[in-house]
Amino acid sequence: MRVLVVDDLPSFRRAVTGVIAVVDGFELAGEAASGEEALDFLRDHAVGMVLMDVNMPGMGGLEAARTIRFRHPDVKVVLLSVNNTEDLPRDAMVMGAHYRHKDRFGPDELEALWSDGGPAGS
Amino acid sequence: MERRGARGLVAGLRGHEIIEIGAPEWERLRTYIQADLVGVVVAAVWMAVLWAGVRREGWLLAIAALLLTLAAFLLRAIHLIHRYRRFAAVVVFALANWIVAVAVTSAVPFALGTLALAVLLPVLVAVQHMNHERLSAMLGATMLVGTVLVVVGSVTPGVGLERLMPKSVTDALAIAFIPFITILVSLAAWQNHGMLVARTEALRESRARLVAAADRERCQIERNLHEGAQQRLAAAAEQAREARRLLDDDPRRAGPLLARLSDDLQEASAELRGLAHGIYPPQLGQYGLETALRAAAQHAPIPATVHASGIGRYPPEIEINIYFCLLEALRNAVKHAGERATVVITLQDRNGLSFDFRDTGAGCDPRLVHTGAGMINMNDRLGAIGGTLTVDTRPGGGLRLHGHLPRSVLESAGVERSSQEPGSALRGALHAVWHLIARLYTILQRSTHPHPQQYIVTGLLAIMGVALGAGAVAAAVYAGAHRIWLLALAGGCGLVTALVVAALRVVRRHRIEHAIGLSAAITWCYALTLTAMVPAALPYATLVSVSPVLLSVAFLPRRRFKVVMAGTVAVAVAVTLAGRLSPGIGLTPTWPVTAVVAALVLLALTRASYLAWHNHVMLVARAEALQESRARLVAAADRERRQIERNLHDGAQQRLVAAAVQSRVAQRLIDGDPGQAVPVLAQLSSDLSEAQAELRDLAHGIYPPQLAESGLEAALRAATRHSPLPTEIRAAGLGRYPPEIEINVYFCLLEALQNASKHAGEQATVTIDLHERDGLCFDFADTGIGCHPGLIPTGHGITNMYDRVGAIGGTLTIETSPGAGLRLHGRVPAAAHRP
Repeated sequence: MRVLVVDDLPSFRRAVTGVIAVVDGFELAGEAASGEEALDFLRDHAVGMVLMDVNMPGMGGLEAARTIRFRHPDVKVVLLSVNNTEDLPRDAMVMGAHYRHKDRFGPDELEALWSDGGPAGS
Repeated sequence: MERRGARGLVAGLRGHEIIEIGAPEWERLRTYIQADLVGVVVAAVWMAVLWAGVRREGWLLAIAALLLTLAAFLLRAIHLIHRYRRFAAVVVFALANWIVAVAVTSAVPFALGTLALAVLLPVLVAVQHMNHERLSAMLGATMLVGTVLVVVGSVTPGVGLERLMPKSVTDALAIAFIPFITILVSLAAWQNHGMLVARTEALRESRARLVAAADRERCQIERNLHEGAQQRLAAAAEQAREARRLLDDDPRRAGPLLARLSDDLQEASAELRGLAHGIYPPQLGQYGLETALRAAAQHAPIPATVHASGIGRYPPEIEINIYFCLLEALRNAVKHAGERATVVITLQDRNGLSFDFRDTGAGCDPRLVHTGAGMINMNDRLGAIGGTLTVDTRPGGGLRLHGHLPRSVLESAGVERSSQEPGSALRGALHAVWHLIARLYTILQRSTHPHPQQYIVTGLLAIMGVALGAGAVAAAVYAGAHRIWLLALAGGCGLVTALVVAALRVVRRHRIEHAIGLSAAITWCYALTLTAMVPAALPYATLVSVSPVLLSVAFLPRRRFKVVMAGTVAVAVAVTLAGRLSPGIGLTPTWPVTAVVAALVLLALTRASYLAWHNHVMLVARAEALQESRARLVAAADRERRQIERNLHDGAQQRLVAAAVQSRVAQRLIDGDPGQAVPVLAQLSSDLSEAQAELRDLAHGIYPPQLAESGLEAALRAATRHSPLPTEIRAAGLGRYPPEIEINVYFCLLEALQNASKHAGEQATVTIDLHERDGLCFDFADTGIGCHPGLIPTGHGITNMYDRVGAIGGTLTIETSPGAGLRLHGRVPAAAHRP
């Protein structure tokens, strides 16, 4: 599966690309530093999964996830956050997106995401 | 805690204490209205007794019913205070007074003497409860009602009570009620006086407390970073190096080590996040007050719910202060309310932003509220952004906190709300009325910024005018009628004129306190003499006799103010006795006399209203500078909080998260292809080193460790090591000072140093001299290009330095001119830090 990594901080993007490299079946499609960049990227490239930070400057991860789900319903969106999901506002949760805690993210979590709904699931 | 219906109204009468720390205004407002209520009920009973015992006239019952209606209004006002609607309470109080005053005067015109004062009462009470705009509308309404009252009192024949009833009864009524209303007026002035003194003092203390709290917090954050996250990071970096070494020697042992490292990093990251969250919760910045509070309520160990209506986004300084205020309340409830307590937080944006915090816990003695650091902290926080906090608690009755940020505060912070306050058109019209009257009065007074001397001079000149006029009339009549008392009157008027001339000289040359004392004595003598000679002038005399006490509010110390208060009440009694019992000089109340008295009453009412306005302006002006300084300090501390949180979140925390992910990647690689793990481990080590360096720099910026360990000199030397300008520090024999003094002087000098590196030019050198001379003195001098002294007050850095040094009780002076560098002299007197 081709994965787009979206985070405004290069150190975390680098770490996530490392995770993608060691898990079989995943391949890095590209990197983006904001929601806007991610949407631009998706317009021109085929992507199976977007791993995206919630808290980013500009439109932010939640708004970007909503737009991606609307424009590209086949793309699996995984929102990564350092906060627990219950701390997010009720109306901010994006239908059909997965939420993962950044602290626990690694090769095991990515594999679990694969099995959790399969490549085309959401 | 809140009871409904008639029982609730009566319960409100007895009431439990409503507390506003540092400014007990609610309690005073209620006491005041309660006192008014007692007077009204006594009057109603009197009327009923008259009806039962003296004369069974229907109008007596009508007046009694009217007075009971007023009592119902006053009960409503007390009830509104319980619901924290201070403005509405004052308006109800005023309406009740005004309606009854006009109705009673139309029935019994001689009541004008008592009720002219009663019309003035609400505005005197309002001085401390209203902003400029509302108060000027209230003054406009007072003047309109006053005019109606005077016209009604002068024109209508009334029901002829004086004919129907023995004179002794009406005399007794006047003798009881005029001094009673005078006492209420004096009490209102006393409260305003207390507010003038107390508010400045409370603001100064609050500013010092806020700065001390921010400094303590800095210190705490630095310690947490140093002892917590930094230590964990150092250990993690060591583990990463160890794993890298094992990769070459014994790859099988590297796997478990990396698993441990991953767990450690996860814990360190969580700890850092907890710290950042405590400094500034990220939800607050991202999603606003409601979401952040819901998150806080969700994590609270007791059931807590948040209701919000009409809440939008607000400037960060408003959100952060209300958030921490409510968080403190929640923590208090968790600590003291008991395990079974529940908490309900209600946020509402209607005519300003307000919150209501209620717990069903154990409550406490209201006296304890004043001593609790938590409550004082909440009050300081809310006060700093222009809001008010009221506390309502009883043992066993839970605790209720009500915070309110008026619409004007939100608007000046740039928050736009489309809904209109009801009655704004009426308020605008009343505001215009007052401005017109105030403008006319200032023409009479010859100054738009009246100094007390100006008031006194105008008053004395008015007295002189009346005395000269009366003397001339008496002399002219004497020429025709040859009555000896007319000659005596002319002589008396001449004497008053001579006294006024002498007094005018004293007023211009002596201290304000003497001037006020002298003017009060003359005013009272004048009121008494006038009433003794012309009893019809009683309404005017009652208003004149309270003007010294209103004038004294802004200028006399507490002790002397009491003397003026006592004098006012004594004069009110004397004037009433003279007005009711003296035969006068035989001037029958024909229409010219009535017209002159009516005009004089209006003039005196305007003068009293203007004095009330002036007191309000003084109240605001004296507090304004301190209020602004406090708001700036709090805003700076909040900006800093947000910056620290941002730095932690974007810097060290992200690196830690990335390092934890990398450790899991490395773990996976070791199992399959250990060779490929080498660059990942190298990256991990580098991320950890950078995180360590970032945390160290951040902690240093928050609170330099040398300051706590070795004092000002060492910390300044460390700071100047990185300065681009050559800096010399002289601090021979300088001892240690309390932490709040050291940290504020340190940041003040650091700011000066940063200013110099930015503006003084590359060739400049800096000298910092610290020495002890009955306190801590510091001199900062640079040899740079200096600047025009006029630019000094506009600089943020300089204002910040002034605020910091001011908050610890010190002073700061700055000298500069173009080409002559900048010199800064600061002093924190020993008294500021020795208990």
